Amino acid sequence: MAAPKKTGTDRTALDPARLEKLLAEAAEFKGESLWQDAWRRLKRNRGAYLSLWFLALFGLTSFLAPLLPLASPSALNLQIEPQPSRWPWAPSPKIDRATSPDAEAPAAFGEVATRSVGSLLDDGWQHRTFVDFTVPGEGPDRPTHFEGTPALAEIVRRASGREPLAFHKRSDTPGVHVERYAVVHRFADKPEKEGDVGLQDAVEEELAAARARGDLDTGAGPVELAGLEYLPGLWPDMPFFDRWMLGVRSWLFGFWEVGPLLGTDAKGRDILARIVWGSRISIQVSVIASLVSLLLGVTYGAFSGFLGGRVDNLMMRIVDVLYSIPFIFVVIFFITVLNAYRTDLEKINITRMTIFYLVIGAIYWLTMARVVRGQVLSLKNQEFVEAARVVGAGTARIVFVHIVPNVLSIVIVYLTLTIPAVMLFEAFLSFLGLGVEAPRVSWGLLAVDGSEAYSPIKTYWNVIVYPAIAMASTLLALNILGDGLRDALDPKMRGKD
Amino acid sequence: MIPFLVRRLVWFVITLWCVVTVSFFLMRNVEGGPFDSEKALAPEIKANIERRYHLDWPQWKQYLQYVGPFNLDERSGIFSKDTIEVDDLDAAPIEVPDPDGEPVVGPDGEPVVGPDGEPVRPTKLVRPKKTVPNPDRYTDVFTGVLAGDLGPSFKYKDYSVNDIIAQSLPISISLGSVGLFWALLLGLGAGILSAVWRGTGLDLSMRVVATMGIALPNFVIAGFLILSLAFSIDWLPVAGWGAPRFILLPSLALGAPFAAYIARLARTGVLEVLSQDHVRTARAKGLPEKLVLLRHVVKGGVLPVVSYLGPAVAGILTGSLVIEKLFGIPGTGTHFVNSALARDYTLAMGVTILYTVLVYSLNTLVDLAYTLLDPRIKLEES
Repeated sequence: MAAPKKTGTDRTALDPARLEKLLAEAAEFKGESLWQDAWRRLKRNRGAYLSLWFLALFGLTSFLAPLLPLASPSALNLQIEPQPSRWPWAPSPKIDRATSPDAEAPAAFGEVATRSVGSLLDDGWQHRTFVDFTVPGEGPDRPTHFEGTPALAEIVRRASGREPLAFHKRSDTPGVHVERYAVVHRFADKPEKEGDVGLQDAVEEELAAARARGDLDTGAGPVELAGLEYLPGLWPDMPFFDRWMLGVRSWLFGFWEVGPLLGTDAKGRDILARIVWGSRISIQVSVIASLVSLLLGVTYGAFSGFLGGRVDNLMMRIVDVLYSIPFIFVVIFFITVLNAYRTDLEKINITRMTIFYLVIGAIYWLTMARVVRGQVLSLKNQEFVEAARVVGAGTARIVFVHIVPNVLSIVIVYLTLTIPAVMLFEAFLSFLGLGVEAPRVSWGLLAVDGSEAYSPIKTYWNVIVYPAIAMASTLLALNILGDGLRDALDPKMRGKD
Repeated sequence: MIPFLVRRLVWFVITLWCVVTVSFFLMRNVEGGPFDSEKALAPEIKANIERRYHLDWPQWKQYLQYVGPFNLDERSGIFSKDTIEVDDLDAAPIEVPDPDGEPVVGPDGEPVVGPDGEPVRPTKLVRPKKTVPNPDRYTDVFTGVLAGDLGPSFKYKDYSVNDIIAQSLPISISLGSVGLFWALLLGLGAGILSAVWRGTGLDLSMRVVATMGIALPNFVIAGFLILSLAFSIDWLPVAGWGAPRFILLPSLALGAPFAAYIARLARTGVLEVLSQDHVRTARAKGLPEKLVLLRHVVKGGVLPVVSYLGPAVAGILTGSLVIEKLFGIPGTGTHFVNSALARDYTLAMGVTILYTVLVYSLNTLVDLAYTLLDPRIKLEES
């Protein structure tokens, strides 16, 4: 800070003009808070700044995943070979009719054709209702797609207001088979489990009308309504906001989706969709677990450092004891033991993911506690703490209001370094089969899929390489950002450049 | 140094006690044991199995038995008696009423009532008992963790946890030490080279590779190694164990993340030393650059690496869980994962205890080594 130059005159006797000048100088001089300074430094660090933008963009993509016209991350398509990367405008591969089960579909009545169905419709992401009709004629051995009998398809279309998908299905009664029309509900709908009663009434009405018109007179026999069956989607517990975004998506793009830009894996699932949807769980796990560790570590470390003396000694010895336990073993042990109580825990709303957050958070708080304690030790004898005490603030108030904000910078640095560590740990646990379970997908599971995709006969590069690139670039960005933040916030570095 | 070691030992005992106690009671109170199967066992068989593993005892007694050092078993332990009762195979069987049998039903459908007014029960043949000297007395006085006995495995019949560890630990140790060797060789080499040639393309590429190594999980690295090496070099096996060549790929994959971290530490350390006065002095007095580096820079610059060795060893031990599974190596890590999933609690606990001991003692060793290398650091402060 530029101090006013002393002149030979008496300092108390400032003439007004000089005072004005001084005040103007002071007004020109802008103070800079720690955070402004840190931000300036961070911007100057090109790598860290780029990483920050990359992570922001990436976080946004992952948050908005339901809005993007991606294929389903969990839809299996075992009929076609794993596909290489394909541009969205490239034609989809033809199903070989000679080997496809669709080829066995007999011509009942109406035109029979194979069609490849977008994974969005095929997978069971969404809730849907099957409308079954018994139709004369022997059916195929297994369900097969076909165009649908025009008259029946029209009935379902009119009743539901949606374009139905038709299947042939065998019936137990000889001489007839079942035509099944699948009505896919829009993403935002969540019909009751018992089925769409309104739909049943509407179908019956339309059926009666069609009979009256004589649309169903084929001469082969009567067409009856066999019943409606409701099938909930794979993710019935999808949060409301995600369902809403899926609804917006179907309004924006309809059933259009980009092709497998990064190819599909061995089970025909779209890799790009899996990477984007998987990032959601990985980010969720790592952020929440890091926050748990933050809460525990900061509280513990701050109190230990502030209370000092024997209490501090004991608290830190406990941390030392915990440090020397090989935690991965304990975690695996805990997760397997808690899995035994899974049904009980789920009753009180503790899912496997919650256990996951808690257990991982419980490991990573140790280092945080040590770091915070060290900082607090150096802070607690400073004047502002004494001033707070003089005013009459209690221990908890001093710790949380006066000390914790001052150690926040180092905590944030450590947080950015904890998040990648937790991501790696999630991958590790998923690899051992203790982490996220299908149909959910996380980067750990993707890495596991990748590690299973090697074969000397044919290696599916895209299954291995693309998830690895996504994971490496995110973790790299987090590491670079963490280092950059440390340089930016380290008080020792202040004023050195 | 002695007080330091004593203090370490005290905390070691406390740590181990915590691990043993918590995992023991967790394990004994969890629903569903290792002997549960789809078919319900006959009660006699179940009772026999429980007796075999002392599961019929109260929990505190089981705990004492597990911790040791004294065997509490009535037959062979420290409180065993000098005689036992056994079936007398020479004597003729005698008939005794069967208390579990259904009451005998007469021809009229009513239970037959004896002269004492009680319903008549069927009889069964049993061997009379006889008292013989206990042949097993004091044969097995010391058991439990304190006596170095981790108990029988629940899943591998006829194997004790000690047997399983004795079979698998040498494999894990050889894998881990070769992994550590790679980590040190590659990490120190890359770190020192990139510090000496800082700012060059070599430095940049090494740093990028190192950051990738830190950021990627080791099974992904293992995958890339398999893809690039095992499929192109015929004699490099993809998985298995048994010959020295089998160790190459897994140990490389195991050591790679640590090599990356060591490279970073070594680079920072060497750079810091390079800017110090004594290095300038050494250069000023005309020492050749090679000697300056070897004698003055590397020794000081490598110090941070030494303190990282403790966590690195722990990390390599745990990292080998994944690598062993991936490469199909029959090491302790594989046993741990399988036993935890199969609820072979004694084996899982045994491996946890083993690894706690390993990590703790290796950390202590590293701390000792650190003070030997850097006299400025006092043990008491650590």
